[in-house]
Amino acid sequence: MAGKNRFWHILVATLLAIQSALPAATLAAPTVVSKTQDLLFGKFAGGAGFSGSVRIDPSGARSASGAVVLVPSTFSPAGFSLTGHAGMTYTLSLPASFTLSSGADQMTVSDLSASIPSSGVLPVSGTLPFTVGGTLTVTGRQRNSTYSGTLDVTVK
Amino acid sequence: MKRTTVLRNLVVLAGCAALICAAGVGVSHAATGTSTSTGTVVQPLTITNVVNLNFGKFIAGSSGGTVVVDTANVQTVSGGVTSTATWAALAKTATFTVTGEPNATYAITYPNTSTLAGPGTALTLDTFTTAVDAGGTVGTLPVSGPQILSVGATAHVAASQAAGTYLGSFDVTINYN
Repeated sequence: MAGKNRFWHILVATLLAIQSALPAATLAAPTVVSKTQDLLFGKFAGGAGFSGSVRIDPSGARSASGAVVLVPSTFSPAGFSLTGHAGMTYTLSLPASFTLSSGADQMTVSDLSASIPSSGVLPVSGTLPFTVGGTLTVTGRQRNSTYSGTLDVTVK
Repeated sequence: MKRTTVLRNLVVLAGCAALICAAGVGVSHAATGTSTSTGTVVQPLTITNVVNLNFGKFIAGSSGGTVVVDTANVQTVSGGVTSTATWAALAKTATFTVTGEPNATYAITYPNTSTLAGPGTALTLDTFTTAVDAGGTVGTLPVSGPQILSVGATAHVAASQAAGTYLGSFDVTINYN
């Protein structure tokens, strides 16, 4: 009976030690991903038989393929800032695709890519800014309108 | 004895509950950032030639000169070049149909020069002029419907230019700006 008591005491002590250690580490520097800039594909001529795609690179460069013609306008990659504790290992997850909508009409953004590797270590500053780009597919029957949607990126 | 066991078990349970709590904090370690994304599809710009540019008929002189067709089918000759009312009436302004996003602005680009080839020395074409029909202005599409673009130019005729028909083409390029 005495041996069993000692076992429980050690177990409880261990659990309490783990319990007190864990939140201390996580609460000290919670991981936060904040948006600094929206992903803007700008204006482009498409639809009416003109199909193709518009690509925004993480670097901010915009290009078109197929019969889509870029029209002068404001465009930008999505910008985020990852904050956590220095030296923390992160894993960045981007969606395979997401949708921009205007009423019932949709366009798909795919081939998402980021300016930082999908996994790495937070620098000494504890802050890692990064950008995300993607490719927007425009069909030949795309209705003229401004389409919008949301891009979610997850960091663990 | 039974009482102390219950107490120990409670402590163990409390420890476990605390661990679950800690695990909960660990899961919220993952963070999500959300960006808004937009893209605007505008109607493609199209330009279609409807009427070809025609300088009409004219007579070359002993000195060089020019033949101008303005944006209203009017032929004007200068220098050694002469014409008649009948020949001038054959002149036609080039017209194009432009379609695109209502109210959008665009730039028109012409070649610096172009040539018309024929029996003699090629005629040089330059000084392109532009006008549009009612609705919109040059470089701005109307609120609705297509725009008719009229294009005139100047042809340079050499002294004693060989008689005959001279033909050529030139590109009119439009882009949203």
